Amino acid sequence: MCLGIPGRVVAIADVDNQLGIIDVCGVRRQVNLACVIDEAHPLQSCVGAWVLVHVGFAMSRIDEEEARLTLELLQQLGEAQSELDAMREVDPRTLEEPPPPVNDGVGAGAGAGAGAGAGAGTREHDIHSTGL
Amino acid sequence: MRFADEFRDPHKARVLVNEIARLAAPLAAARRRPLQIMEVCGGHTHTIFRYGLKTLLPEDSIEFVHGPGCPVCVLPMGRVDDCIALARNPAIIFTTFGDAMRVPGSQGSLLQAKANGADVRMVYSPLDALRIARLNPQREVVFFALGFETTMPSTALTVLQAQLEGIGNFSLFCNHITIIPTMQAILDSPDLRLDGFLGPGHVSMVIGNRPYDFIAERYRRPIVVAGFEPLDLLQSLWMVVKQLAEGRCEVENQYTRIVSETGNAAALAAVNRVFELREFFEWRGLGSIDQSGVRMREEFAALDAEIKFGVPNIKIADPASCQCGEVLKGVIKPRQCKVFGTACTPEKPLGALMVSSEGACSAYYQYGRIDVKDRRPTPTTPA
Repeated sequence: MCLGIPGRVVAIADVDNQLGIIDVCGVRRQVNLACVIDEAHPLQSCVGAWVLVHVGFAMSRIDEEEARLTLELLQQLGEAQSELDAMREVDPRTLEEPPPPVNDGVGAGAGAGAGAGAGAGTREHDIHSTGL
Repeated sequence: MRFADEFRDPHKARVLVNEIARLAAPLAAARRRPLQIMEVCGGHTHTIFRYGLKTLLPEDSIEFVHGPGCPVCVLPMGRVDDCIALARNPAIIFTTFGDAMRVPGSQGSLLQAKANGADVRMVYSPLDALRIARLNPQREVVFFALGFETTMPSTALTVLQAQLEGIGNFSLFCNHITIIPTMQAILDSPDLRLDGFLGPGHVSMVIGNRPYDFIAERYRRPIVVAGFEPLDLLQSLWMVVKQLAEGRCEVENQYTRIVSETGNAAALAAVNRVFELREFFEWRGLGSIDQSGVRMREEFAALDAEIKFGVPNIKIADPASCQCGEVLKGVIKPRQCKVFGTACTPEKPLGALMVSSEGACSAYYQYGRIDVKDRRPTPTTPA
């Protein structure tokens, strides 16, 4: 009951009682819009808006700009971390380490009967390792 | 799903997990124990287990303490008995959210009462209960109102609608509870070791962030209001750990796409119009907490089922074998309860924590069994 579900307001159903129709993944339902309207956001302005619905009431408009900013921040954090990882990779000590022979071994073993397939597999494995 | 899938990106999750681990390790080392972070809301507990976040994080530096934020779970047995007493009245159609159907009282659950002939109906919204009242003018319709501030506006608005339309056969059995006194009770507990909080996102959507100021100011603990997707929780946890690393104690908001500083004015106005604080409210496992519940104002007495029909209101002790109280207080983990997974399962719950999907025991039962780290070594016998 505490977990809301995001839906999009598609129509106003009853102006007097502030009811609208929302679409949640193709399912439509009547909801009360009283908590998402005020002077700056009249009832008609709800159509097209994304709202969070709890037990038949739209309780909040979903701020798309804020959602984008949050994701952007996480993206930046990821980029900063990859940059740090890249810096670590040029550490001279890592250059001294012998190239991992394990991949070749696995590739050769698995690819006994299928040469090209084994090559692709090895490359995927490499990408996966650096990704971590 | 929009605004859900974007917040489930595994690559971004990995970045956050790395950052949390890096910041938390020295803090945990200094304390010689993991950082203890309470997720107040049961919905967060559910996300943590459903997406295996607990297993992603280093167990020696981060420990989640599951908070009391599952309204179904903290409902005392006596209140369930009151519901059943109302439901047995042949004049009454008793309506409730699905979560509350299987909560055991001393004489069974609402589901069992329904099987025995009581007219108990599951509804999605209190507005559905109001519609049942319109369609059945010769019967009395009682709606079982429970939940924190998240669901309070919806029942308050339903009551106002009933009053406006003059629907005389609708009433509310009010069991709403409030979050701030509850968190205060946790913070005042003598054996408190919590380092920070993940604040409840949807309660905060209604009340805003300001009511949490005392946690940072008076109790010097960081709190970050969090959303419900895996990235929301990881980012919030990262924000809490970052505060600790930088020696800050602040109220921060991760869930900015939903939660504003001041909350929802229309929702708060409806709540204040209909409800007032009770002197105290009895919680399952936690005992009585001052001013932690609300009742309907006198003006709405005609819509108050407690006044209209009277309820036995008898205090019932939890079954002796059930350790919900200790789990709720964080003294033991669900798995350490004597009846966990044996006498008490989601199919046949003894305690309320096993009933709702937001309950800690239910989360451990459904998702926790794949948690290898949590499994204690068991002696193996040679084959």
